[in-house]
Amino acid sequence: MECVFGLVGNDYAIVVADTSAVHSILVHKSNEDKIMVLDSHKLVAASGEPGDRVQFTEYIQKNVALYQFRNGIPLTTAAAANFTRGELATALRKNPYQVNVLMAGYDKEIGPSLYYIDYIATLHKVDRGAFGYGSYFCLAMMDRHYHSGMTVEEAIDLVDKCILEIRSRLVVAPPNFVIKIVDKDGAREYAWRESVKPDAA
Amino acid sequence: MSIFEYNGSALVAMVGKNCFAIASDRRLGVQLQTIATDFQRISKVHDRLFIGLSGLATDAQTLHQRLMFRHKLYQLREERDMKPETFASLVSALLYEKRFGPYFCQPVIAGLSDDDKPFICTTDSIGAKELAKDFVVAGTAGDSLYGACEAMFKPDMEPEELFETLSQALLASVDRDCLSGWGGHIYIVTPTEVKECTLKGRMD
Repeated sequence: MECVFGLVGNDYAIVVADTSAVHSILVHKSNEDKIMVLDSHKLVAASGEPGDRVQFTEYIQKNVALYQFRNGIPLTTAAAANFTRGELATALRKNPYQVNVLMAGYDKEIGPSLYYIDYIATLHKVDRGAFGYGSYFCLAMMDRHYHSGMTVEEAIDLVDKCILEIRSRLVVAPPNFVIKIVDKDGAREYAWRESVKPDAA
Repeated sequence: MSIFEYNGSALVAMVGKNCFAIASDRRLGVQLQTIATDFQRISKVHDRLFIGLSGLATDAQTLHQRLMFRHKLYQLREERDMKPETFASLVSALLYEKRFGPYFCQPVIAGLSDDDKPFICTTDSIGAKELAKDFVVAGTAGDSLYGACEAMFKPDMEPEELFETLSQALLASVDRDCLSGWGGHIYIVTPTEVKECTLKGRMD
């Protein structure tokens, strides 16, 4: 029941992911960070098969870094998204990755952007996107309350509304969420929303 | 559910008098859920040739990239654009290459031939070409589109009338298909210009 969602504002993009690592009926940990900082101005929120998720996002992260080392300039968000789609598409008919990705980034000339990349490598640039069972609630919530040009405070308010909806309506709702933001100052963690305090480990 | 119906699509191309029109819906879905309402299914190969790809979106995107690559290479080598008939054969060949592990797409190709004669064609997912003189359809709304087009089509329509006819046929058909819709994109191509319009239909 992994929930990942995100939205784009005026000059920022926000992605939110649940933080439960689940195996069948057991919750291994409830502070698993599923949003990877790809580079200074990109975030990748991934959901799906746990091994594939970590392996695939790390692979993308290292290749994005390699591009920057080789060429001296970072990839744009669109380029990174298309690279990710290419990797998923190539693997699709051999050994598919079961990972859904929401890639958020900020580029100097272009501004913020959010890319929806399915596990079967469907790529689309979106204003708001979501994966998992939570998407049924988040997308509806965002359709109702989202408008272009929202401030960060308004967007976080909307994120909290979505989290509340997931917690109250999804039968095995994840208790904790992490919110990360990317804007001109870079990609960083914004906040956690915890209803069950995870242990120190 | 069939893999062809995973994302949902509707595509149609129609022939007029020295012109053609190609139209698609705008929905991108994942089975019952709508992900986006601004998905582009039709792309320009060159000023006089358009291709629309219906079916599984990921294969449509992969196939689109491969076709653009092949056409750009052709342009570099031959120093000219590909003729629609040639492009249709290229599409057919690329699809048949994957005969036993196909792309789950049904392309619709529409272009203006050498003497400004409109050319339309569709293929199935393994490259069997179907050339038609009046209209071709593809996608989950295909059956409805056949009916609507057959009823509304007239030979030798001028661009304005062709636009009206095709728009009405598309919107009427996607309204009967839950997996396609959310508006439409339509391109009307004459020897002198390309007009692109967005249609507003039932947004459900």
